Amino acid sequence: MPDIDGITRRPAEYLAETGVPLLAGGLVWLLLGCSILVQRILPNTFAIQEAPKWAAICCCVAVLWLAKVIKQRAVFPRGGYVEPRPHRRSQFFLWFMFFAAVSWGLLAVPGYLSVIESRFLWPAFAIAAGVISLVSGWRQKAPGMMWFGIYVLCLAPLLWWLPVDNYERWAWSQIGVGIPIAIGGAIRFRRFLKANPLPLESPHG
Amino acid sequence: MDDVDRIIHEPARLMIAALLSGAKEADFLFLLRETGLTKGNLSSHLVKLEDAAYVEIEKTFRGKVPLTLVRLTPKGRSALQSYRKRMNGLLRGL
Repeated sequence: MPDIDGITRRPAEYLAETGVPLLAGGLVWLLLGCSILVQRILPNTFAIQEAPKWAAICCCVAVLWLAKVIKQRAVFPRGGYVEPRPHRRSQFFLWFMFFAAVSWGLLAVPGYLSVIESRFLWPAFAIAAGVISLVSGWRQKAPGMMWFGIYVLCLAPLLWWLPVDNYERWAWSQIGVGIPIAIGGAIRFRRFLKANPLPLESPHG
Repeated sequence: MDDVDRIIHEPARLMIAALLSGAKEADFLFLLRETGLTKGNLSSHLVKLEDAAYVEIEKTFRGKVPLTLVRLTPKGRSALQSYRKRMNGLLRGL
């Protein structure tokens, strides 16, 4: 009997293999992180501080729109169009891990406001994200995701060490996570384009 | 073994049904690429699944390019689930 569960997961895996969701996601993280750093070098007035934030949001919308266009123009004509159904069990697992990590962070130390101001906050998030990536990568047998988990775990002490405040530490964590995701997505996308040239005639039966 | 659904039991059709069960909809090219079947073979299997009302096929256009969209119907989804339960039961009994 064939591995029906494996075949059922293929639509979602196919889209991930194209690299476009990763590329878009990584760029969004990178843009949001950079906007905070830009805020820091600008004068501290309301209007000037708001400008980079809204510019970053507009850029993120543009990136998501561009990702949709790339999928329609470059991905679907090459590898076919599919709209995956959301996988309820894995979504539940990810949300459970996320809320468990947040709850642990808030409840473990009395007076959770001190946790928000603590320099351990973003390293703790990085550790939680690293563990989630490692476990998910192990469950899905995805070495790339496992390596990403190890990278994020290594990022955690670096974030702790940075001699900046927590807001800027948040920006660096977004940039630190966004860059490898975007690079990974771009590499996958390039590989997908090379492996799937445009069909010369319409394949539709 | 007599009560096993023969339409789903055929390996190519089982693969098509399993692929479609993980998707809201997919086009002909995606199924062609994932199943590794020839165009004619895939078409004939899809016709059989459509005759059994397990899939619905919509022929449309994206711009000037023809597009064949395929979706698993609720009947097809429940047939696949029943088939899996039946086969798992049979394999457990061996």
